[in-house]
Amino acid sequence: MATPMLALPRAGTGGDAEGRRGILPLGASVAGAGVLMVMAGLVGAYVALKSATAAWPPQDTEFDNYTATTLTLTLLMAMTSIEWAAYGIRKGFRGQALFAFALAIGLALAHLNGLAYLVNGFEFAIGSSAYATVVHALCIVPFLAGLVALGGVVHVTLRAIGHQLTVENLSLLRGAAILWHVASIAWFIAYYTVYVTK
Amino acid sequence: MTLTETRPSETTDDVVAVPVERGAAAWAVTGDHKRLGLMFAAGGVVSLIAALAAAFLLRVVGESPVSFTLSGDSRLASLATAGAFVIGIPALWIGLATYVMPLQVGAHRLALPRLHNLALWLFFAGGALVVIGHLADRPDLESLASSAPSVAIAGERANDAALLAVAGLAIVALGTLFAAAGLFVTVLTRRGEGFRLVHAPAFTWSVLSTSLVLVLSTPVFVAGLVLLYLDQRYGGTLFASGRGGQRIWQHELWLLGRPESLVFFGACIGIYCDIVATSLRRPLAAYPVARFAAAAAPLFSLLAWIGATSVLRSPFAPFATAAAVLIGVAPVIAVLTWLLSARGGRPRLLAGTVPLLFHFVLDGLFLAIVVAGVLGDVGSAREAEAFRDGNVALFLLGQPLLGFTAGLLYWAPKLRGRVPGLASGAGVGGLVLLGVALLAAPGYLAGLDAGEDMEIVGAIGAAVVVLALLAVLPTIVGPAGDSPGDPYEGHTLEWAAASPPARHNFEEVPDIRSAHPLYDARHAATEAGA
Repeated sequence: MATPMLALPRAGTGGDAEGRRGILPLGASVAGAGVLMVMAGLVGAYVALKSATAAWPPQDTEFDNYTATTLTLTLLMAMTSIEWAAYGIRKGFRGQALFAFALAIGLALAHLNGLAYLVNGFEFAIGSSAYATVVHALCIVPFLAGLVALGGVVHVTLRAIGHQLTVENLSLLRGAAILWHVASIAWFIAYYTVYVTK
Repeated sequence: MTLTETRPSETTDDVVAVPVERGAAAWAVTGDHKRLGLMFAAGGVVSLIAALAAAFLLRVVGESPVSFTLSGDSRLASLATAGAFVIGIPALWIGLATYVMPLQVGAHRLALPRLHNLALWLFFAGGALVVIGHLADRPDLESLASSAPSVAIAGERANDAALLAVAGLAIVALGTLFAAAGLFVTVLTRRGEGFRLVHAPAFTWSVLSTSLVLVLSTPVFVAGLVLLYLDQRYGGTLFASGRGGQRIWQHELWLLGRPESLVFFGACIGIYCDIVATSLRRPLAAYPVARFAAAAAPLFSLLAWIGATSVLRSPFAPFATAAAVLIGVAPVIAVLTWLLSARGGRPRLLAGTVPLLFHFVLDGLFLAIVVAGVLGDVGSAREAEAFRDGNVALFLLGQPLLGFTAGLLYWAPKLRGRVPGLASGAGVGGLVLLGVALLAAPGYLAGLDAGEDMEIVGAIGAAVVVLALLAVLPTIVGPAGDSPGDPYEGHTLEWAAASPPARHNFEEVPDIRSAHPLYDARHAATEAGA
């Protein structure tokens, strides 16, 4: 049996402290990659069905382009607001940051409410056709991702209100912002697939 | 700034003081990678035992007249597929990786311990839903091992058993995704100070690439399950819509059409690289090449998406053969580095080495059978399906089982502080090989039109594999022993920790300047003594 004690030199100081500060943004990015791959799977299903179906979308399908485009613009504003909040925290402009957080949460709630309204307004039931099933799935996944991301944004907002969000732990905000951006991109993918390319 | 919680400090002095909490509640909410790893691994073994018990009953009851195959219109077939390939094997790999990888990279903890804990409970909750669904009723759902979708009658709502099973599978898949994300981030951000990624052992490299593949491929499975759930819940026609529905089934839900079916075969290469180096008492020759093979083998499993078109024409079909060859390249490269390293050395057998030798036998057997299948006349669709079911048992079940049991036996001193003997390795490896060969036999014989009514052979095979799993279970849940920290004169950092490791893993994290720091330190000490 070998001796368990070896004369290994002890590590120096410093090391990868920078890397550790990046844990939350990296974790959010990896989770975001997962969400985008779910969307990729759904878009792949959409394209597979489209290429194998003569009438796609089914005849007499009506699109609420106005609501869908408004939702897209709302998301763009929410993404900008989150970055504004990050800027405020980074520069120490607390008032600006809190206002931007409030704006982002308001816009996010408006988007989720609008998306629920859009899906409820579909004139086709989920099981009425293959098209209906996959379009519902394409809208439901961004909605769920948006709910999770909104939870993250609310969390960092509460921290900011309680003076617990500073430049020192900005990675918390970066993680929440990445989640929100990914949820937004998920909707952009659904919007482009269903409403632009059809 | 006011903080409402105190996170564990990274400094050695602070982490030494962390007390070990006992009791079921402490285990339930733990973020300790060792406890999480043990629970994942134990859950994986239990799930595999349940799946094989279902496969045993399948043959004894005779619900599916074809083979192991875990396919066929049977609730037992569906349960066995889900229990083995969606829950058991992934959980076993996650358990091994969660326990060993942080030790190998000098980490005190996981990067995202709460996420990992959530992943564990998603596994348990999803697995429970799958079992409840199958026990409640016969699900209106074909096994995921079947290449063609066969769900509830188009336009009619599936029964609750099918919906429960699909929801459970989706929850388990989310658990897989979260655990893989946690492992990926841990490798990249939690290495000991000064520990460069190029100095990580082969197993850690395979964890990095396997978790990346799982992060990329599991969500596509989730997307398929979302579609399946919506379709079945609301009486849809998606999977009965001809080629489009079939293509979605084959690339997003079918077991053999997804990278998850092959990724754990690749993950075994990393385990074997570490075992071989320790068995040979020297670092692997051409180590960067071996490291590349360990990292590339799981990544190549993504090519399964190209080749998985057994029924349908695909624009990628011309590349399917090249993809199949590429998947086999990395293991061949790894074996060449092992042979190169063994030249002129003094190899020894460890408990973890023996399953590797059985693995070579299994690969030889598999190649011989594939050649027999090519030369033989596997003509009809039914024969092809039966032959494919043999492949599922021998290749997709046998390979990861041998690899992961080798890992459990090799790292047994770290897991529970006990050093298994050679007899354990021979017993477990031999039983796994014998069991999966018997389990696969009915499918192969039916595929080659060489024998029918061989179900009892498959049943015996399932029972033999269960015996092997029961034999390996004590390495995970057995009483803790007090083996030396480094009983094998290992080369990598996990052997510098106590067996089993303390709560904080290392009293002090050593400075790492190579991929085999303990080997270097041992030789430096020898040279200094001389």
